[in-house]
Amino acid sequence: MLTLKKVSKSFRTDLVETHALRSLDLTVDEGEFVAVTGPSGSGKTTFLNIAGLLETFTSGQLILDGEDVSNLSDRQRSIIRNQKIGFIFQGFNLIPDLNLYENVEVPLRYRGIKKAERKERIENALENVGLIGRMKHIPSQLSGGQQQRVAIARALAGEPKLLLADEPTGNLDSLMARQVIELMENINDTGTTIVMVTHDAELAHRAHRNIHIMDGEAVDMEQVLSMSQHQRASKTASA
Amino acid sequence: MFLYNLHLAWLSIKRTPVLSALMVSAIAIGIAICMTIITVYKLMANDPIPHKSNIIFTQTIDLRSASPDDDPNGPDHMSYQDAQNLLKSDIPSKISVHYQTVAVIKSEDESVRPFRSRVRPVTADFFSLFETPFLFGNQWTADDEDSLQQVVVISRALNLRLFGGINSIGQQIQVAGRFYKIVGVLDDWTPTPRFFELDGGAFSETEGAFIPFSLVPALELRKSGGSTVCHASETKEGWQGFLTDECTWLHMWVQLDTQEQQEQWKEHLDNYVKQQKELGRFPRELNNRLHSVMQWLEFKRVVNNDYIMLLGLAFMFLGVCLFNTVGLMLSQSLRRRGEVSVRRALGGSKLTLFYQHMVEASVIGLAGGALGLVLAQAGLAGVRSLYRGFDLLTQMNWQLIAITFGLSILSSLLAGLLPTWRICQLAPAQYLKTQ
Ligand SMILES: Nc1ncnc2c1ncn2[C@@H]1O[C@H](COP(=O)(O)OP(=O)(O)OP(=O)(O)O)[C@@H](O)[C@H]1O
Ligand SMILES: [Mg+2]
Repeated sequence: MLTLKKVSKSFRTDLVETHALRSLDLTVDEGEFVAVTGPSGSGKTTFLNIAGLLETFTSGQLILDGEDVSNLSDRQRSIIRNQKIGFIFQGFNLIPDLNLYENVEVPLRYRGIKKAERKERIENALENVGLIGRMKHIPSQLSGGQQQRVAIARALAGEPKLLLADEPTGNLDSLMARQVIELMENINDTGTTIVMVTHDAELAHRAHRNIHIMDGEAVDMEQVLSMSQHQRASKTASA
Repeated sequence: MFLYNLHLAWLSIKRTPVLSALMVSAIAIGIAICMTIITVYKLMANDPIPHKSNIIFTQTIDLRSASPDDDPNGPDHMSYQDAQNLLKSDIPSKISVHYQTVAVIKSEDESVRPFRSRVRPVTADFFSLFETPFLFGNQWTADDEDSLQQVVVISRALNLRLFGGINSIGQQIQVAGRFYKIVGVLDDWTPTPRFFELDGGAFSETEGAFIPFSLVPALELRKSGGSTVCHASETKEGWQGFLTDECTWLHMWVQLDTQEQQEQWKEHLDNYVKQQKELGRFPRELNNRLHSVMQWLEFKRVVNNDYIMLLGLAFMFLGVCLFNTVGLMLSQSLRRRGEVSVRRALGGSKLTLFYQHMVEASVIGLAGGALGLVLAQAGLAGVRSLYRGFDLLTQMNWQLIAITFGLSILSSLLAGLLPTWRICQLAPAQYLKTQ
């Protein structure tokens, strides 16, 4: 479903150049539910944004759904985002002036779907997340958990092949977090590939597979353990 | 998509009412100033009789005395004896000689008190040359004129005052103590600028009574307003003396339909002056000129340079208002970054978002135009109250209203260009983390 080959990304500001990803190699298969973990600043969000065609990268190759999407125009990238990818963010990112119905409608509008079909899809999606009754409410009238469920409905309405979630439960208490994760598991059961960045070890365990990113590189867990021991050792040595 | 964007524009305007109101007012003020000045300018520079302005002419013949005078241009007006002589020519298709005076008008109806009104002695051709519209009746005939019939054509306003607006053909009124029979009533008639009689203001209305020019020797009605210039060192006694003096005071216009007629008329004027020279008149060198309507308006500087500068200043002011709007739109676009990023993530391309924000800018522009139109009306009312004789200039037609909206939408699009471009260039990822 998703393959990154030696993808590097560096941010250049006036003075410093930050290497957010260093030659990242990574594959996610169709139908997988993958959790991405790693320390803060390791490049998880950067990876997710690149995978979701929200950000360009410095070098390497990105293959999405069998198609090389490394060098596409803004328009082509927008179309792929719109048709194949769903996003869920830590901060929900609903549009504050639009009611729930209109929020879920946004990606369908961009896809040019007819009114009747839009209505059906939106109602189904809101039904799925249990918020059909609050269609006319605006986001600020909902709790955080409810807002995140709307964001999920918005991602679902477009029936994406790939769902990218960046710490979807980061702003939620554990009960709400569990509801959200269960919802995502249901979605995964219908065949949608999910890549979720999380700090929560418990949530990460519920995924099929974990990818650990450190300093912009994917590492396997054993190596991680030994590395962190090594780091600890070197820290005590220098102390 | 357009309606959707319109809906989004409305939501966004509602969300930041104060900022939106400021943007609308900035555009409205700039537009109002511009449109006030453009309206006056357009009417000043207007062709008052477009379908025949290039075949009607006025002429100046230079009868000034030989004393050195720097002005190369002869007098604007014609003397009575020259007008009488030239009227005899059958080269022009039509000849109008006219001037304006003021006289007391009395109705047979005792309830209407006598009042002073403008009165214009005109040749019969006046009406057909300038194509005056008739509400009732018609102009008098050449026979009426030759046989010194006391007939009159009155303006619609005068008819309203004297007869309450009814068809008054055949009724009698007194003008300066003599009885006249009404043969025609004009409809509203407001050539702008009033090219055929720039005396008394190029933008005044033409109303009152029109009587045959052939009656002038008998009437002793002196010209009121405008200039009468006497060029001889001595002037003769009385009205008859005045009519034979070297005094210029009459307006004279001719219709020359063909190039050939125009050439003939010039030649005729030259021959006339040469012939008069033999009689001891026209001491200067031959200095005859023919002006078409637009040439005459330009020659008389109906649109003066001050006004053109004012027009420039108005556009500069609109520019300042636009810079303000750009600033406001930039500040608004800063708080929009989150929403734009979300829309980009959900599949909106740069172009889609550009379009969305341009629709919003046009809505602001449209609102600014509407408010600007209201303010411009106030501005024009101000011009009317400040300057007399600008009545005709301070009315907007549909064309000017269309220009208002066109200009304001163009302005808001221009103002929206930079902020919109900037917001569409944003890397969406950056503003998705924080909201
Ligand atoms: N727009 C940017 N400009 C400059 N540097 C950036 C930018 N975005 C990210 N970085 C840098 O790239 C590195 C990776 O950032 P990223 O946001 O991917 O980390 P992360 O793993 O998501 O961290 P967290 O767990 O805290 O969210 C960091 O060092 C960060 O400072
Ligand atoms: Mg992150």
